[in-house]
Amino acid sequence: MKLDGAPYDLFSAVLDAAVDGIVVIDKQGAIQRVNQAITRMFGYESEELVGKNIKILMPGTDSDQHDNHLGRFNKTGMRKVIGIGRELNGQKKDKHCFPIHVSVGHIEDDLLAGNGSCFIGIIRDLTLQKHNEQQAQKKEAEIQQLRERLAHVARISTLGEMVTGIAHEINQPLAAITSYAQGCSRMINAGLKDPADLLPALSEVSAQAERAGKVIIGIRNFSKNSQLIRQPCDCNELVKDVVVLAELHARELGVSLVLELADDFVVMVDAIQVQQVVLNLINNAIESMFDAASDKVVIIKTRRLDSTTAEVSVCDSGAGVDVKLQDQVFDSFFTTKDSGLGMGLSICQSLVEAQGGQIRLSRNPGRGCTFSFTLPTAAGG
Amino acid sequence: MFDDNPLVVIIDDDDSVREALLFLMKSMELHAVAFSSAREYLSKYENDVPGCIVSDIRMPGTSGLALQQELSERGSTTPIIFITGHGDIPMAVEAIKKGAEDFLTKPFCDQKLLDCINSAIEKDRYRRREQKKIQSINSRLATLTRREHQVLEMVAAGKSNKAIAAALNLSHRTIEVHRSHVMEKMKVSTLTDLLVLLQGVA
Repeated sequence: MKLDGAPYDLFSAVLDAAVDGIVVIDKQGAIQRVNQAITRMFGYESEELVGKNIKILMPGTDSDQHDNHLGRFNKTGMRKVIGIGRELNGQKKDKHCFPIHVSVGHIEDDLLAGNGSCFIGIIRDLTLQKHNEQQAQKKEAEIQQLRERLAHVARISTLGEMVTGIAHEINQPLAAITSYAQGCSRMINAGLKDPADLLPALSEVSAQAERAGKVIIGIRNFSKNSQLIRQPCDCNELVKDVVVLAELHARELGVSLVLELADDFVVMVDAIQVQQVVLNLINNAIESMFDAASDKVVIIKTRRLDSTTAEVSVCDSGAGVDVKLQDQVFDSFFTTKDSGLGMGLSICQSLVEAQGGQIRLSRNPGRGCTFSFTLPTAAGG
Repeated sequence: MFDDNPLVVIIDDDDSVREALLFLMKSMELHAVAFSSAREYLSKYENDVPGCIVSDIRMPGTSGLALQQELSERGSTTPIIFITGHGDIPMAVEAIKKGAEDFLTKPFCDQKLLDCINSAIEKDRYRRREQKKIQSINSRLATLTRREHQVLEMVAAGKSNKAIAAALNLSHRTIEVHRSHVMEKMKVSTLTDLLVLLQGVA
């Protein structure tokens, strides 16, 4: 290729062999020279570009700014793009816009024997890279969505397994309400003198209705299908809220739940997902003690490990885990239960990892085992 | 006496259900006390208090069934009415097989509970009255001498004074004296009364 009738020299050969686009402009922004990569990238012939303002390669929004940038640099030497790379949009001859990376160098006047200082721009087409990034993001979002859906299904299934306990927990306040109401009727029928005598019973009726309502709200929150939202949560409150649900199952199987909570601290997590993990671990612990004769206790602990990490652990005195199986418990479809898909701990692991934590299993010195997982604490928590 | 003031013992681990039952008992003008666990009740248990027990069947620690077992081992005859949740029907059936008075599913109808309690108290009252009668007869029997026992057994077997005298190789007059002592100590005036009395401890 020839420019201004000049011989096709090594310098030109180097420019044209470059994969990235190279464009030389003068102080005012007029294009002095382009390489072949530029003509391929933008769809112009070299002759169509030389002499034109560089703005021809920019979409309207960016080109409006360009004169300002150039003017400022020429006046003050202040750099916006020069010496640094930046991502912009380019505009092809057919007006189609595409993402580019531009880095601009400045060539001093004295180097060019009085031809005036100029700028050299190296332009890389980012179309493919952006496309790949978008694809990867889309895939990641899909995986995330699947993970959330799976977690939701697991939550619903956990609640399903707890249905007897849940029914019990709603039935208790209903039984109390019925008894109070019937007692009030009896007292009225027996010729109650002062209606105010019924007030304590009536306030109990409403307290019990609220209690049943709370169970239902808890279940509804827990069964919600929501996107992962990590926000600062009080770690102990989070554990306490889910222990209320776990109590349902515990009571049914005669297991007591003991809380050993550290001083309040804040973790940066998705509350529902962490509660799901805690509930799952407690339920497993409860079920592991099904055959135990006595001392059916599950201990749930929270503690700070260091300035950035907290730990929640669930410790049982149940049947424990076989050493040989210890590494497999987090695998999908691994189960020692007669019923159960073997997805519980695998889901727990993915949920903990989604919070930026890690889960592990350790055997207790005496009986049973402990599952513990770490969570990131919120800054300043 | 205390027979007229039976006690309803309520055992439930759920505070609200327990309080509600106490309130209901009060509205029924029944004398009631409540315990939060079977263990707590067993530690304060006295057999000579008449009445009945209304207990939850599913409780942490000692369950309703275990309570029933332990009470029976301690020789208690106090009737137990179990209140159960939805899923506990097989447990309730087992309790009934082992002699529980009745079972009600929560939430229950107050009239049904009252009927159960009244019938349980009535049974307990009857059982205690019978027990007391037996005790009193046994204590009267304990005052008899060995000879008087022999005479009593033969009288009860329908033998005449004459036959008894011959069998024991004693005089007719002596037997008559023994026999009148027996009647006196057993606090009866006719042979029929004596036989009815003895039937109670047979």
